[in-house]
Amino acid sequence: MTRSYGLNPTGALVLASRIVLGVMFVYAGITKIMDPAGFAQAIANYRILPGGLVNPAAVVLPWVEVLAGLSLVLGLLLEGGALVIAGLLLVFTLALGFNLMRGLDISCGCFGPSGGSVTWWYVLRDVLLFGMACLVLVYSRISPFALDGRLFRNRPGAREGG
Amino acid sequence: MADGETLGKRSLKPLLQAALILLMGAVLGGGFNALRPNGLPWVRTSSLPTEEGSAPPMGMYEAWAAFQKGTVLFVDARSSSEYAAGHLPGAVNLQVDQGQQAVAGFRPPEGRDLVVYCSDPACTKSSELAALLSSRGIKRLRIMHEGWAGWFEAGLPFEESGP
Repeated sequence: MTRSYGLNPTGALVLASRIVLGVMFVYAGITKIMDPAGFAQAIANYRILPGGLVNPAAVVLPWVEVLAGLSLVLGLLLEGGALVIAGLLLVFTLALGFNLMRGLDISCGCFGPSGGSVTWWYVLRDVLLFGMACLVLVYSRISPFALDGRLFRNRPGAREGG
Repeated sequence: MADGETLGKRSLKPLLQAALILLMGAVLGGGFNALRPNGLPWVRTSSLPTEEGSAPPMGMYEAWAAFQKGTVLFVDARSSSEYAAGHLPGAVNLQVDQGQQAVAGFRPPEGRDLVVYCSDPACTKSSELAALLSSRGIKRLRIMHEGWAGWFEAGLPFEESGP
């Protein structure tokens, strides 16, 4: 098994995706952490989650975004972080698309509670970001500047950093 | 090259890492929420703009029919200038922008549903006002999501200025 730490084209693309997605998710998470009530209202406005799950989602989701974003930026638990971000983007895309299809005019809540109404551009954006997350997931092993490789390179059997 | 066992471990690794991230998010989020002064209650007590919430939606025509039967009172959550420019028949104006002050002196009429609305289907003031009223123990709340714009475009009767 060989690991490449050089900046070949694929490695550069994966690194760029990690940084773009990572910074975006950390930022998105922090804006939501700063206004929990506003974010809870934004989730409720989607009218998808049952009422009892709105507040738990509003409490936990922003921190998952920040942690997964950090994971991508640092390259720590990189595969897990990419999987979480891909999963979140899939859910966001479906939620946005579902509400657009049923004609619900809501604000995105993507980067905090303020912001304009949702359009199909938001869906397209999330699909593109989802593609980047999948790229990171698939090529996580050859991504340069990842802490995973530095911390665990001598323990190929190690499952995770714990 | 990877044999079956390491391949299994390899595909398990992202899942385990993802589970760890979700778990840490739940612990950090829950802990931070418990410590911060404006933390959220785990179970939302105020009303929700969801179909299942304590302020379920009421369609525009249903609301008009109910008004004619005298079983509802319209509540306008918008600003006073918007209210003055035109509002639903008999509507009271509780400006949710003013917070608790808006609803301090409000006594709901006996035996009538409160149908809350704001400017259009995209507005959130009706949900906010319903949550505010609900938090003060007021029951029988409904939200008319079509809002003033839907009502006006449908050509239903309305009033201008004064309550």
